[in-house]
Amino acid sequence: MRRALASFSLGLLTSVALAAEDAPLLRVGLSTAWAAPFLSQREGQAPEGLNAELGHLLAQQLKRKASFVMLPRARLDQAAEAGEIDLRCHTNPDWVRQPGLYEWSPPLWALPEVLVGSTNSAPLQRLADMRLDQTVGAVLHYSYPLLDAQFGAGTWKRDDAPAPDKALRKLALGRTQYAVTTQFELSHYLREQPDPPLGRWRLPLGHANAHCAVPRASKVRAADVFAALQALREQGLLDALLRRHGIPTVAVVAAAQSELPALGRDEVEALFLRRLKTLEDGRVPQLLVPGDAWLAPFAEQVLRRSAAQLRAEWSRATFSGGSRKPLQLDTPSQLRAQLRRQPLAIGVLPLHELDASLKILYLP
Amino acid sequence: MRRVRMLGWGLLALAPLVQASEGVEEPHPWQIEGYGTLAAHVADDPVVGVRGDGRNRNTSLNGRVRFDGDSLLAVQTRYEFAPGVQAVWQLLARDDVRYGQRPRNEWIYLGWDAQPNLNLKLGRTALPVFLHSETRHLGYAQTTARPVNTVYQLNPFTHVDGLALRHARSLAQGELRTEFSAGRAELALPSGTIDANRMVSLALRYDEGPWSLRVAGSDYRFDMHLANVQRLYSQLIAGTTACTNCAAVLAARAPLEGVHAQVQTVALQHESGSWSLTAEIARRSSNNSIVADSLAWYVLAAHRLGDWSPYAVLGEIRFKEPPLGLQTHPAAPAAARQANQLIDLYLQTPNDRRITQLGLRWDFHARAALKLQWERYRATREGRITGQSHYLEVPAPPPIGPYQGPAWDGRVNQWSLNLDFVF
Repeated sequence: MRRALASFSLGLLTSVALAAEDAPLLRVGLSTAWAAPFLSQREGQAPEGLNAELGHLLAQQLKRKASFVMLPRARLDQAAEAGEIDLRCHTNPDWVRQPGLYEWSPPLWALPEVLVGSTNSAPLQRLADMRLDQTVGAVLHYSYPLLDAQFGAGTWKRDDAPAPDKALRKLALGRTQYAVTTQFELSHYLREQPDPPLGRWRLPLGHANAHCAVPRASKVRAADVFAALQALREQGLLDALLRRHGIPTVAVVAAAQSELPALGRDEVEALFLRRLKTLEDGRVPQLLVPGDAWLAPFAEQVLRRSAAQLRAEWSRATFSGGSRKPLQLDTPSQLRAQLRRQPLAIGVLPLHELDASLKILYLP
Repeated sequence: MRRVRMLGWGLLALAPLVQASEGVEEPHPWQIEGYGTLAAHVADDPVVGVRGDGRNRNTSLNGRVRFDGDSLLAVQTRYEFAPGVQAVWQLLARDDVRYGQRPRNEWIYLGWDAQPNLNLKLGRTALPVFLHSETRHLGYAQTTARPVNTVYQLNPFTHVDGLALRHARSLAQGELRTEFSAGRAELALPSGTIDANRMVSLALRYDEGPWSLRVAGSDYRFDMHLANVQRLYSQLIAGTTACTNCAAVLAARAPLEGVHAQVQTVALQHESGSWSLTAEIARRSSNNSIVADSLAWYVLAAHRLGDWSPYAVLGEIRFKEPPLGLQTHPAAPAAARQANQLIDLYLQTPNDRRITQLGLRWDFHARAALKLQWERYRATREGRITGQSHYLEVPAPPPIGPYQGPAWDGRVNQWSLNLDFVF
């Protein structure tokens, strides 16, 4: 079904592209440092993956034709400054040398970073447990706020690869002991490489938000691009794109300063279906869920139920004298505020609504 | 009963005097929510009427549409006095042979979370006999229009005045929940009233991923006040049908007082992806032929297609009482012998039936669902129909009742259209 949808959407994009043969171009910068599911390219073929499809969708909204400019990540800034590209996505103001070169969209999705080890490496509960002189695979030119100080001090060795999938391949081959990557690239790698010699543990390292950025030197108006992005979101096309590439659109989160641990799916299910009130350590969290618009993605992606089934479960809990249903807050900002106030609160938020004040406890 | 009601009112009256904990923003200590159903059902048989609920006053007969079968409104008030201490009061208005449409206290209790996963309740609560016992009236939480009657007929008690305990804990990859309840209850049925002096129920439920397994056992001791049956007994003992052993047999096999019954149930649920499967089986045994030993089951399969969920149910109930052996005086006419045979059969509850349901649930709104359901009842015990009064109202021929019309062919269809909502 997913494959059929992908074929359909690609077919749609192709036909639109053909119809827009004479349309003005939308020059989309793509980074060679990206890996699937964000970008994949076979020799002599057009780029594929989430970021390429997003470029096509935006071009379609703007009645333009997408033209991809593939560059090393470090060269994208130069191209933006020279007016050689109109758009780059999957980026962040902290990742570019001159954020002022661009106008920035609201966050599109969050990129949860994790540290993963080979089967021969010691599992880590926290970064401080890593032994000296361990080699950590990373991506060339990327910065890792939690690790950079240790790399700089020589505590751990940084081993750069041109893209995350290459860093994971080095890890699987035993050339590094650990690697840092996003959860999504790791999941894709594990799907493509059956049973690689990687440990099952993951150490969350926080998350960064991915934005689109329109260079100020571009002739395309940033407001038009951001309106097109908003239209994609409102039409559900952005979420459909993410889901098609196996990327969740919601996450179970807590305040960044909360001591709550990462959760497993079983634990999340037991808590949010109100079967249990406590965590494994006996603490009783307050549960927060978003408004009706985001209840369906939460129910389907996290609890593997429909929103109707979830509401039925909650009505059973409520009217059987059991637990209260989770507190439903209408807006993400209300939910974020409550999470910051209540260190024992666990909430569900759209992935693009995460910020540095939150940490991910469970990602479907 | 009056004491329980006064306790609840008193607790709720005290509520405003208690301050909620301050500091972080907590859910409001008051919580007022409700649920309801707007329903219509119609049955097509000219002889046998069908109820929406076994405690309805009226039946649908011969194509007459009834709106009072499943229609109901319930409001639940919950007040959290302090973290872990709550009072809950659920008022339910539903057509009932005893209360009519007047609201009744379905639940009213004081609850205390002795530990985060251990809750004690004192007052009126649900008796956790079946899978949906605690949400029997909550149509929104069920796939079908109403709980499947083959199984749910075996225990008409919906609540108990007494003590309830609920515990939950992690076990292996899932959660184990234990529910215990003990107390007493009064119950009105179309055929009379029942005073349960002691009811005890224990249920264990294990949930792991898409699977749920629930095992429960209940023990009841009660007295029955069934006017028609009492009148029949009086006639039999007085010799109207020349019965020679009725007084002894009825006292031994079918007394109206001192009934002791047990119900055991096993339910299995699987909810994965778009498929939902539920199977529930119940066995009832007792020391009384009127509360006939029985075995009932149903299997429900539903498939979700977006907001639409078509479903199908198969179910059966079988009663297993041996003949009472009512004797007729040798010199009595043949009609008397036939009458005693019919009464003997009647007291064995020969009301075996099989049901088939096909339905469609449409979740058209975040808090409302519309259901269309067809249900077919088919009597499966061969022989004469002696009358019954529960979900089916089958008229009883003489000498049990006055009915002298055409015989029932053993089949009846019921259509239901229910709009369930929560608020």
